[in-house]
Amino acid sequence: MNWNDSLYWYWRERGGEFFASMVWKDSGLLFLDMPMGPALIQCELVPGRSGMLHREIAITLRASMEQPYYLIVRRERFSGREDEESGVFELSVRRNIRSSDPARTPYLLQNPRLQELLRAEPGAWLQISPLQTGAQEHLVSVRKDAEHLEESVDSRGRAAGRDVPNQRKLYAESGFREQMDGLVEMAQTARDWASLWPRGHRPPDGMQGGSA
Amino acid sequence: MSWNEYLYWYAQDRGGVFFGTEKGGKEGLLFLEDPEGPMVIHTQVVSSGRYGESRSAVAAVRVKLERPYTLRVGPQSSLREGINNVLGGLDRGARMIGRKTGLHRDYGAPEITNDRRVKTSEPEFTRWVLQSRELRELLEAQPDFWVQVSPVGPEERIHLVEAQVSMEQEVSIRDEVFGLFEEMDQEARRKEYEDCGFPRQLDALVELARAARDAVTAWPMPMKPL
Repeated sequence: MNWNDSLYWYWRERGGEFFASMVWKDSGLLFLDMPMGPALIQCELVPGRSGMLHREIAITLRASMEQPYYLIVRRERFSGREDEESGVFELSVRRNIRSSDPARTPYLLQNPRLQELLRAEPGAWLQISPLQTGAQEHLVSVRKDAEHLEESVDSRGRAAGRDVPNQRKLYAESGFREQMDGLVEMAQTARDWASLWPRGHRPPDGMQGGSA
Repeated sequence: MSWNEYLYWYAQDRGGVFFGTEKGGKEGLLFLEDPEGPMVIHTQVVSSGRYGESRSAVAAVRVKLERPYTLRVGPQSSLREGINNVLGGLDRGARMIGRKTGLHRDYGAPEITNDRRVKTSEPEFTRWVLQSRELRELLEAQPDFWVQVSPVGPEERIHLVEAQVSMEQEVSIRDEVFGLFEEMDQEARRKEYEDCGFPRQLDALVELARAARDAVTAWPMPMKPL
């Protein structure tokens, strides 16, 4: 099943505003209704380090913050690492973290649910950046490589094709729903937590997990 | 200035929720609320390869039809005009000897079909769709624009109606020109945006998407032949 087909079934379950065409495979967009503004789910073609294009799943929300803020929490450095410890320091060991405000960043990343969601998706990364230089309006996005989307075939290796019952079954077995739910919740938690920073707040001394 | 920045300024004028950053390039997207249903303006990768990608600018809305339907009215092309002339000649010749070839249909709108390629799943319904005067006038005024209608999913009555234009023609030239002005301040950039014709082009694309939506919903779909 391609991106558009998978997103179609996700939309049928979760609702929202779905824009896709059966003519295309990867251009589907889904806007999920959220209390603080819609979440956009899409699959983007982006250039990699070698210049070759690859596909990324992106969940994007808007956030309003009192000051311009940049943050990137990159994907985990070592895949398959079993680590029972949690906390901002442990997160910064597993992932490269860069931000424009290292004093504030640990406040955002100390959210236990956000840490849990990041641990569950070692290949995903989180990014916050203003719309324009100096702007208070920000984009919060969670991204992940979309390399396994074409591999949704049944146990006999048959692709879903346009057969609706088969597509529905393959969608249920593919884990797409669970993956999207996790990524959406991660973006939403980051957005809500970042938007709720109290004015002038600074985290307690000693919580300096990020690096500038 | 990039697509993202153009679209950012467009969002400041027309409202809606803008998804994109100034530092991004062509992935910016605008979600517009409309009384007839929401609209999305974005770019779409049409083809990609080792040396880059080709994109089109898209204005998309949705409609509910009675059954799955597809329509594509391609951009004007002199090559297509030549092909259609030949196919039309063959068609007329065949009719003179009492045969039907179906090589070239004009769908009752020869001014559109003469130099555009029209592909559809239901020719009879398409004849009605292309009777829309507004749609025909907008397509005539914008030779590079094209329209596409297709279901959003399998066996689905909800359809996506898209108006598109290739960004090769519309934006890349300006990207090169405005690359010289990257140091401009906000006011100067805003002025460049207003003067460059981008808002007019995007308004025309939005208008075409709305006209296509109205055209496919103006008439009930005819009974499907058994």
